[in-house]
Amino acid sequence: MKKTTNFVLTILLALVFSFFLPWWGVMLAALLAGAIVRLRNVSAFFVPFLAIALFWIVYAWMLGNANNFILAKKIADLFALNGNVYLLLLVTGVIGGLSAGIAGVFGNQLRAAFFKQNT
Amino acid sequence: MYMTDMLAGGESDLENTNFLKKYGRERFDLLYPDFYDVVDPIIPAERDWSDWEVEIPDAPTGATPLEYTASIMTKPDPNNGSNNWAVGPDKSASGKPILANDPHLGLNMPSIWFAMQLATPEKNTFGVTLPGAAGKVIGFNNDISWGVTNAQRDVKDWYKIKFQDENRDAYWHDGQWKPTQKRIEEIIIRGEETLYDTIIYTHHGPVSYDHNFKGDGQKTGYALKWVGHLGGNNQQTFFDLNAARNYDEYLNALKKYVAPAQNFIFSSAEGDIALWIQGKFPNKWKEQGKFLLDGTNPEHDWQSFIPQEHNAHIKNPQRGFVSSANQHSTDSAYPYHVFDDGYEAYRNRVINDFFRNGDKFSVQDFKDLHNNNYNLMAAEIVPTMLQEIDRSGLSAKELEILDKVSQWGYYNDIEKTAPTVVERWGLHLRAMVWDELSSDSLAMDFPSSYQTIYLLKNHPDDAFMDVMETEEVETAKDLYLLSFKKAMEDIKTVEERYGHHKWGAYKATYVKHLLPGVRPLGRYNLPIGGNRGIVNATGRNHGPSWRMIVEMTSPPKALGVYPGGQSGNPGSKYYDNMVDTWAAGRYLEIDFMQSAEASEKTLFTQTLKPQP
Repeated sequence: MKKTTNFVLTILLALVFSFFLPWWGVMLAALLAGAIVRLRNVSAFFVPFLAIALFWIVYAWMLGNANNFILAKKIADLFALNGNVYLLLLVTGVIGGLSAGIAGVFGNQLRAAFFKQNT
Repeated sequence: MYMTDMLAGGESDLENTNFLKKYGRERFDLLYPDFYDVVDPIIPAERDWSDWEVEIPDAPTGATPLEYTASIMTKPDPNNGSNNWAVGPDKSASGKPILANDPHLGLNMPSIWFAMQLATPEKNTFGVTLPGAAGKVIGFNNDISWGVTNAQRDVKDWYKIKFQDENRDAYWHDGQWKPTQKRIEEIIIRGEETLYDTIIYTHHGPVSYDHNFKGDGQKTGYALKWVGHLGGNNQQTFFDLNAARNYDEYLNALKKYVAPAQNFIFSSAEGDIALWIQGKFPNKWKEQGKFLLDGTNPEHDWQSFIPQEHNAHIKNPQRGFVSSANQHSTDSAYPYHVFDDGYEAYRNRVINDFFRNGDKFSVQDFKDLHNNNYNLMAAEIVPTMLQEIDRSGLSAKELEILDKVSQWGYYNDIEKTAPTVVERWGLHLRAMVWDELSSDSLAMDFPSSYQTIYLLKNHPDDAFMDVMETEEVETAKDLYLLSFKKAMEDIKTVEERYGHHKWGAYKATYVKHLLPGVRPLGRYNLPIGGNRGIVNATGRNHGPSWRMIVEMTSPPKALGVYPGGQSGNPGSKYYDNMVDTWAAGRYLEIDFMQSAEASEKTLFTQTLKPQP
């Protein structure tokens, strides 16, 4: 249950932040979600990881789809991905996921550090 | 100003001075002549100038300063050039004038040109424009069409300045010390301290070579005199051309134009064709500004300007066509002194021969000429090279390659291999002839390709034929073999890469994005023939940046294409959708709308409503 809540909260916050913050808004979202809804063990990393990976992949797909992936193919060439758009989406997801996962763990730890009685 | 420097920035005064001082007058005149032995000028020889009253300043007595300058400022790309031509009613298959223009520039994306139609209730015009320009630079309306090529004229001169002392507050001119003006330029550099540079101005212009920059003396400097600094209202010319309805209005539009000097070609629905070489040109004494000038002598100043109505021009010539391809404006009969060292000698002759050798021409002929790959330069030197080369030591493969070259026919088509061989061969040959100049610490220009070939054919034993790094004294005959051997090494490298050495693969034309390092945003290995010096002047990253053909029917029928697209957004399908059409030598039919009504060709409509 807590995992689902953290997952949804991360995406929602990230969505809101994306309107006025640069790319690191997703890190702030994962940090806050991690502090509000604490998760145990590896899920503290993997839940925000998956949330933001999904968020970015879907969002990137929507942006690319708007121009038939013309630009995405060129960017996939630029990143030496042989013009493969799926690989580009995967790389996008992993980068977003890694940033969010690390921030999520950090949020989790902050909560533990400041509010010891809750553990 | 950037465009002006790119097109009117060519000069070699200091290089010429270096050469003159080192090798003397006779050698200079042989290698850098005012006119080649074969000249096919923009204004044909039929033009008679004898009814003009012309005053030309006398050349002053006394010498020009002979000085060595080691390093020289960067110059614009010598490949910048263009073609334009037009046939009158008598030479047109349809009886209506047809006009074509293709400016040759660096091939970049987003494209330098943007095609558009501008219409008001009174006027309606179509053409291409540059970022920052209002109105069309090259285009047409219902009454006229016009185009431009660069007029290669020397409008930049250098004056040697003698300062009073190291403060450089005054300089010597006309027998007295005159005050200089100083202007501090603030150059902001990201991440570094702002640079303040004091520019010293004389009445000639800014002192561009001084002790700080490439100069060497505290008390001397070279000041630049340039028509690009005169100002003027070039924009008005293009505004007026957009709206012009006949020859007189075209002529009125041109009068305001200062620099960079252009060959303005014109045709009208009324049946006129014309070409004016328009710009503001100093009226020079013979050889003024060919070399470094004496900034202390008032006789070395520009005395006056050529009156605008005496700029070289022709209207409805007997031969029935007008054309320009950056060659000499006129032959030596033109009464004013004209000098430039950057004249084209090949495209012009192919174009003019094409029109001289035919009776009537259609739009299809114009397309064929745009895409003409005939390599006249090769046709004029390769037979000599093939005849003179010593074949005794060549391998079977090398002989086979030479055989292919002799059967070639001189067209730089993509599937041929001989153009690649001749390109490398010629490059090494040219470098070997002028090794004395390239290895010198003084900056000196290589003589033109035309004059190099002239020397090879007429003076094969000239001292320049010697290769400095060898013990022997070479002649042209030896160079043909030595350069061929070097070319064979290059061909081997090309073959290792592509498995063959066909011209298209070797040349590998590309259109690159303006930002470095974003190769996927450009288009590479485009299958297009031609080369510099060929009417289809497509080199590796340089070539026809816009091709236009307009037939003055009512309304005009026009074709156009450029290597890019109307959108600057790499994510748009209109970013590069014309590149393949361009490379294939095809065109898009221009929909010159005669009313504001949307047609089935309209993609979308956008209406801008001003706030009340």
